[in-house]
Amino acid sequence: MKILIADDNASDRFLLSKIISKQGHEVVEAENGKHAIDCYVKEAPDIILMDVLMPELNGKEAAKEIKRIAGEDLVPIIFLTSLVDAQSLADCLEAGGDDFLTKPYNHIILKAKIDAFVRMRNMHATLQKQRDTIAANNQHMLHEQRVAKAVFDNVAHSGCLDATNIKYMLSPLAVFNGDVLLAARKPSGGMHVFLGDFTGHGLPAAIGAMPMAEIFYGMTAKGFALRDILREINLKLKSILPVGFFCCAAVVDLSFTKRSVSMWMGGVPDCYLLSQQGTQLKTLRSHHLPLGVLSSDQFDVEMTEHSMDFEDRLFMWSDGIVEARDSAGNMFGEERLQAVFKQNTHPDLLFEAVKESVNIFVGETERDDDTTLIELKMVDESELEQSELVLEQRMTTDPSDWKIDYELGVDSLKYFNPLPLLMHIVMEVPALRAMGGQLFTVVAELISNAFEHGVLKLDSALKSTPAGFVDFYTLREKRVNELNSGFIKINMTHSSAEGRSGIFCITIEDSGEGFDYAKKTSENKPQDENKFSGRGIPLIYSLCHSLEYIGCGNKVVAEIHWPQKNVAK
Amino acid sequence: MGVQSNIDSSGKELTVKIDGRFDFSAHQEFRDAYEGIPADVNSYVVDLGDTSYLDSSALGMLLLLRDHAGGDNANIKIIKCNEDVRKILTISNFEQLFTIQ
Amino acid sequence: MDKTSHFDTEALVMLEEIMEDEFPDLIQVFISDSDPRLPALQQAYDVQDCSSLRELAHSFKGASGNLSALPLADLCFKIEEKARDTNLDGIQPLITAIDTEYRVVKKILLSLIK
Repeated sequence: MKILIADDNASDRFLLSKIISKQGHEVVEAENGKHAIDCYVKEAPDIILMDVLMPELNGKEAAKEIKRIAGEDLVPIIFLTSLVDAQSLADCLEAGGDDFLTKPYNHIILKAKIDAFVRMRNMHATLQKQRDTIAANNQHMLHEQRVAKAVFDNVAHSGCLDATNIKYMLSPLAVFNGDVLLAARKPSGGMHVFLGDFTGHGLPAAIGAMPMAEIFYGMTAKGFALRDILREINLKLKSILPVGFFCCAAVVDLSFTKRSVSMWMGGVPDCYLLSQQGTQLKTLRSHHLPLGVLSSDQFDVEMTEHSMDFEDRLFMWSDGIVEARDSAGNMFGEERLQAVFKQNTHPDLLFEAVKESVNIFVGETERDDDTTLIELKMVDESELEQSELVLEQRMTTDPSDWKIDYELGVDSLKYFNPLPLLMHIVMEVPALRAMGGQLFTVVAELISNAFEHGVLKLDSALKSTPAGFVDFYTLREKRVNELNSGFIKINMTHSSAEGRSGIFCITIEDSGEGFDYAKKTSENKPQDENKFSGRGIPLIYSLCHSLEYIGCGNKVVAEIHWPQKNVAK
Repeated sequence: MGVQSNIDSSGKELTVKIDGRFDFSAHQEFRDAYEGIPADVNSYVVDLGDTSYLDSSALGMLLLLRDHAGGDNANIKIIKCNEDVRKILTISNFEQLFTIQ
Repeated sequence: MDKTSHFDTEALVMLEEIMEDEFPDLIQVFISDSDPRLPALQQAYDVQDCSSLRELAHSFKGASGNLSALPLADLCFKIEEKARDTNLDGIQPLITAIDTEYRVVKKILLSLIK
């Protein structure tokens, strides 16, 4: 150590200097207070022995100044004094001294004190270094979180949370609290909505959300059913999350045409369905374990269905709302939430009322990272903006000139939905991607007709009344179970002229007996558009360049040209 | 918050009791209670009689215990839950995985 | 001249042990430092400067204490106290006593390093 001795007495300095250098330390000397300060600045000693009474500037003043200059650094000052009364000694410490040594000097005590201060200095230096390391690590971690959030946002951006029938509250950093909100339009109409709450906080929570969001958006865009998406997500989470980590979720399939909502809830708090212009409130409960807990064969995708009239609303939230606390530690609780709903008279203002109520309860100083809230309103799909299906952008060159034959036998027909696979192939062509929705409708309808009317031999006339609808589907299920022969052959071709125009052609042949298509075509009148079953063929006619039935009617060829001219929507 | 555990006289049943809040701070103690115990133990009791509160990390710890105790073959009873604790277990549908009394 | 009535002899021996071969130097420094102190004390008393008197007495007390010349240190302490209370009575006899004591102390110290 380098030790500064400040004393106006030459023999005192000499004696101390000798004692200290004998202990192995380096010595610097000063004769008065002012000299001591200059010495400190120039020599940066580790410890200072300061005489109290000195000319020019006394020890106490010098000590104050040196401490001020030192700032955050620890430079112990030991006062040298022949004053022995308690008050004077206390005054020394008050002036900024860390200890005192009384004259005559006892070299044993001096050594002990110096050693003690050396230990203290080392500890202080270690603490400062650790603190600086922690601060740097913290900065680094915050930076990493920002990057992770940017990555997550890119995955989540293809959603439609901004649709006009959705109101939501979600903190920008919510993903780090495990809260996730996803929403996507389905190519065939309707939307999937996902509210998730991962266990844990920080990056582990966000990491689970990413593959989950990819699966949700990817599969929805390709036309997969919500049940399949849930199975896939559960499998994914079960395989990547450690035991004990899971995602509580409320997942919704909103159908604008059927005016209904199918729900799967696992581990989330009750949701509310508000109907009849806000006069009826239905509570929906979780019946499933959270995602990521059960293996595939135990996982249950059973969904509950509820009808939703025009302007009915579904409210969902994560437990952050119920558990939000005020400054005294009280929870917002379910009763307060119910009260907001019961007291409300304008359904349109309910969302804001809930937000407001929680904010007032919690007070201004609390963070709102954990409060996630969403309202879904049943509307006519035409009210929503045209959505652009944003699919993966890839660097590979696109196929413009291809054909594919695909045949489904009995077992596949019974259990396998070929639509996503076929759509995937079709979507590889950029120009067809842009018409994804229409193509989906065409292909889905044609395959459905081939299967139901061709293979299963069901009569579409059944579907002309609401009761008939139910009968149709009951019969359908029966015939599927009994099916033991049949096939559907699908052929698709695409050709393009220098990338500026192209023709897509799909041919579907089923093992059924066909129908009298000549008669059917002449029967179709435009005003049949709104009949339950009449929607099918006329719609396709309007989307396709041409649609032809061949042979006995068990084979159909549909051609779609791009770019489209005057296609009625 | 404290975790106590004991094995009964038959040497086959382990009881773990959690006092106060059952949250992430109990993580290590809870694990220590069931790891490294004699192989004879084949049934478990989680006593929540004095547990005031359960959060999602506690649910995670119960899943870890279940995994340790044999997964689908585990024999675990969760007993003496108060209303709040019961509610949390019900919302998460944990009675599908554990016997709750 | 009896060393023990002017010094704490044990402390002095310890001092010699600590200083080793620089013990003579310490003595020399003490002496050259202390020689001017007497005249300075006298001067301060003559002009009735209590604060200087106090500081000088305090300083001399400290130095002599370190050399374990305790009776000398004690005399200085008495002057220091009076000067602190701005009481100039009885200081002159003390200065004279210090003068006498210091001569003896000096002689003894010098004899130690011959």
